[in-house]
Formats: sequence, structure tokens, C-alpha cells
Amino acid sequence: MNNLPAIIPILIVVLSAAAAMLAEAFRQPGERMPIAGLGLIGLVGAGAASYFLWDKDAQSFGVVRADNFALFINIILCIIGVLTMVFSNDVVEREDIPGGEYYALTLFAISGMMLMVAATDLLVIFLALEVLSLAVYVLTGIRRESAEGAEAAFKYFLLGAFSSAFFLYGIAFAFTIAGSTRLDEVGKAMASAPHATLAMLAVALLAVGFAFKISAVPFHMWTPDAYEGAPTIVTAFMSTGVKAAAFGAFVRVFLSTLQPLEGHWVPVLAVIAGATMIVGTVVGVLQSNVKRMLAYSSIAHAGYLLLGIVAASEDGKAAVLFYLLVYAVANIGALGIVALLGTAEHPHDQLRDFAGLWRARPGLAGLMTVFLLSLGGFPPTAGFIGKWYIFAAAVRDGYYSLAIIGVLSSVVSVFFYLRIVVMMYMTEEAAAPARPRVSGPAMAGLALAMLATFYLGVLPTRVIEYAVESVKAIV
Amino acid sequence: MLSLNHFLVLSGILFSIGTAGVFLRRNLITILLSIEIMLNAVNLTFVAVGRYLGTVDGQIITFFVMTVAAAEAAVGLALVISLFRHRETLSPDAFTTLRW
Repeated sequence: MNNLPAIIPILIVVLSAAAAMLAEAFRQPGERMPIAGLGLIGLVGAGAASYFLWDKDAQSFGVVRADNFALFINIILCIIGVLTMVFSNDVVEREDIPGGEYYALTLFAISGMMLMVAATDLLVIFLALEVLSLAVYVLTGIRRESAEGAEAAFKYFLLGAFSSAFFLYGIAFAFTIAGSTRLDEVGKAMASAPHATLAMLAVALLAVGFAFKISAVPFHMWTPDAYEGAPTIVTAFMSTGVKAAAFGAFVRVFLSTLQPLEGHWVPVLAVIAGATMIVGTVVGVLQSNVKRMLAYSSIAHAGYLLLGIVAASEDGKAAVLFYLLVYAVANIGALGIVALLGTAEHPHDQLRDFAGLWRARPGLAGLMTVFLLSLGGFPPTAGFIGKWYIFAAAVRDGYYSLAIIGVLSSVVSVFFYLRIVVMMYMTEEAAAPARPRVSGPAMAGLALAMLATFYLGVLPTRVIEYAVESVKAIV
Repeated sequence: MLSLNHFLVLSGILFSIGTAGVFLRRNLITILLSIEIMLNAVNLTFVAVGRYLGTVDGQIITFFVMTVAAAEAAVGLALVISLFRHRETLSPDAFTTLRW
């Protein structure tokens, strides 16, 4: 029994996923079941368990460690999961998504994400990565009658499987050097590094694997396709959840285990971070599909987060954690609104679909504005504090040019966020598209996301303190 | 006498063949097979290193990798079938609805 505490949050989510699957199996045709509620119970339970495990540093089986770092990301994942569940309840039926499978896969993906950030063994990180990836591949293509969905899912799957082979080869080289896949032993072996070539290969291959998952340039090709072709609610979920989990494991592996080789990988990651910020914003400006635009925006945000990893001071790491939370709340809010306005026939994802939203739905237009401003980095929203914190860490570490690229690209990115805002407020709606009604719980979820955006923007100190506290676990 | 290096080089060659296959082959099923070759190249490394170090860890890891490869193949083939239902072709060049 002593082995269990660290995996309790994961177990709770897995149980709720199994319950969702069973509920679907016992459902009579046409019967409605509150499966989203099951997921909500599981996620709130996992969040509470993470809260109680705080500062306990529980370990399970020597390969899973619920330190404060993992728990902080667990809580971000629970927030993402809760918002996804609340929005899904509106969207799933309308979009012809098979309910039971959808909820079960989402919850299984979340359990994989939680395991990925808590794992302290490369092999377990790989297995968790596969648990979450396989679930998300299927979620991308879950609308079987949609040709774009199938194409997006296959592209995502192909590049994902390809990159995980690289990641696995990196693990094999680490195993060759250290004789173990445990992070602490790999770290020790890397520090003494008798096999410099093998060590470099291991680092490079692991970095490629992570770069695919966080969609860093030049490994970002799948992102816009997968995000556009997937049902919007899945896009909202994967653009935030997968990123949070992958960045969590990335920070843990690179900033603690591979810290001794810092001199070799930091310059490469610095170039990738710069390229990611530039490509994400510049190509984002050219898009007319909102989902695709937000996909490029998520690439740019991956660049900002990488900048935090490059500036690997304690501030840099805490900034990454804080920014993950800020980005998750704003991005799931913005994509959630797109999902809530769409139907199977009319996805509501073109820029012109947003024309006149302010007249028709002032509440949603206002919320959308808040989320977009936060993504763009306007004060007093959370995005401003998050970006400021990352760029300040970069400047303090002497990465002036990267900080300048970051500031410039966020200025350019404001252009495409504001395009949506201008559409909503200042353009008359051509032909009124039938926008579906948004239910009370979904509205409440959006309102909570907005409150969080303002809270993190105006009074960020408390959460930043928690972030600083939690990165101490991985030094 | 075969040394560890022989196995590492062989698995490196296999991995490269798999990688080349993913880029060069023009059939989705063959591309999936190329990814399997890459995974099996990695398996070879694990087994050879495990044997060299005298532990069973390498062999045990291989079982995990095989499980993951099987799960990946299941999802991958399902997606190929669903693609084929929409397009009636297995050439990757036909899938161009989504671009830029």
C-alpha cells in the first residue's frame, strides 16, 4: 500500500474513464446519460488528491514521483479537463461525436498526461506519452464521417509515431550509457559522460521527440492540420493538455537529468525557440480559418515556453509553469467558444463567421475578447504577466536577442488576435448563421476561465510563489 | 566474435532504413511498416545492450516496446481504413484537403 499515494490522482482519472466506458456500454440506444458528470467527478477528485499530496513528495514503485512540480501540472491538467468536460456536454451530441468513447478517451489521455509529468523513468515517460498520444490520435479522427478528420488524424498519427520512434531511440542510447532508464542514474552517467558521442545522440533524439510533441519548428508540420481537422472541442483539449504534459516532462528531463550537458543543447534549443516564435506568428497572420490561426498561435506560444527553458534559471522554470497555466486557461477558453458556436454542418471556424457576434451574443464576444487579449499579452490579463515573466528571465540570463524576437513576435501576433476582435465588434453580419444556444454550465466554465485570466493578471504573486516552490522539486 | 558495436551499428542501419522508408515510400501501409522497422531497430539496441551489461532490463523493456508497437499498429491501421473509405486510395499524395 505504501506504493500507492503518488499515483492516486492518476488512478482516480483512470477509474472515471473506465466508468465512462461502462456507462456507454450499458446505455440503451437513445438514452441520455450524464457521462460528462462522471468525468467531472473524477477530475475534481484527482485535483483534490493532488492538493492533498502537495509537499508530501510521495513516490510509487521508484518510477513515479508526485513532487510539487508534477502536482502543479496535475492541477493545470485538471482545470483543462474540467473545462473540456463542461464544454463537451453541449458539443458532443450536436457534433455527432460518439459520447462514451469520446469521454473515455479524453479521460485516458488526461491520465497519460498526469503520468508523463510524474514519471522519473524514461521508459515510463515513453509509455505515458504513448497512452496520451494514442488516445489523442483517435480523438482527432473521432468523427468518422468527416474526411478532414480522418486525414488530420492520420497525419498526426504518422508524425507522432515517427517522432516517438526517435524518442525511443534516444532512450535506448541513454540506456546504453547508464545501464538504466531511471532519470537519476541517467543523470549521473551523463555527468561523467565517458561516451560523448552516444550522449550527444541521446540528447538530440530525446529533444526531437519532445519538439514534435510541443510542436516546435521545424517539427510543427502536423499541428495546423491536426488542429483544423479535429472537432473543435478536441482541438481545445489537445492544444492545451498535450502541451502542458509534454512541457512538464521536457523540463524535468532536460533541466534536471540532462543539466550537465547544458552547454551542448541550450544553443540548439535557443535557435529552435527563436524560429518557433517567428514561424508561429508570421504564418499565423496569413490564416483565415480561426482554428488554424490558433494552431499557429499555439506554435508561437510553444516558442515562448521554450524561451523559458533556455533561460533555465529558477525564474525561467517557474515562468514556464506559470505560462503553461496562463496559456491553458486562455486557449481553452477561446477554442471552447469556437466549439460552442459550431455545429456538425457549420463549424463556425472561419474568420467571417465571427462577424457581428457582438450584436448577436454580447456575452460570448466579450469573453472571447478577454481570452484573445490574454493570448496576445495585453495587461491586465494573465498573458501579459506570463510573457513579462518569461522575457524578464531571458534578459536576466543574457538572451537579449531572443527576448527581442519574443516581444516583436507577440506584437505581430496581436494583429491576428485583434482581427477576430474587429470582426466581432465592427463588421456587420452578412447572413445570420444559426448559432446554437450555449448552456448554463458551459457559460459558467467560460466565466471561471475569464475570472482566472484576470486573477492571474492582476494578483499573480500567490500562484507565482507556488510555481517557484514547485520547481525547487526538480533542481 | 561479434561485439556490442556490431549490434549498435546494425540497429543504426535498420533505423536509417526505416526513416528513409517513411520519407520515400508512397503507400500508407508501407510507411507504417517503416515505422515498425524503426521501433524494432530500437528493440535490437535494447536487447544487445541488456545482454552486454548482463542484466535482463533490456529484454524486459523490449516487451513494453512491442506492446506499444502493437497498440500503435492497431490505431494506425484503423485510421488507414477510415481514410480509405473516404478516398479509395492509399497514396499519401492524395491527402491534401488540409494545407497551410
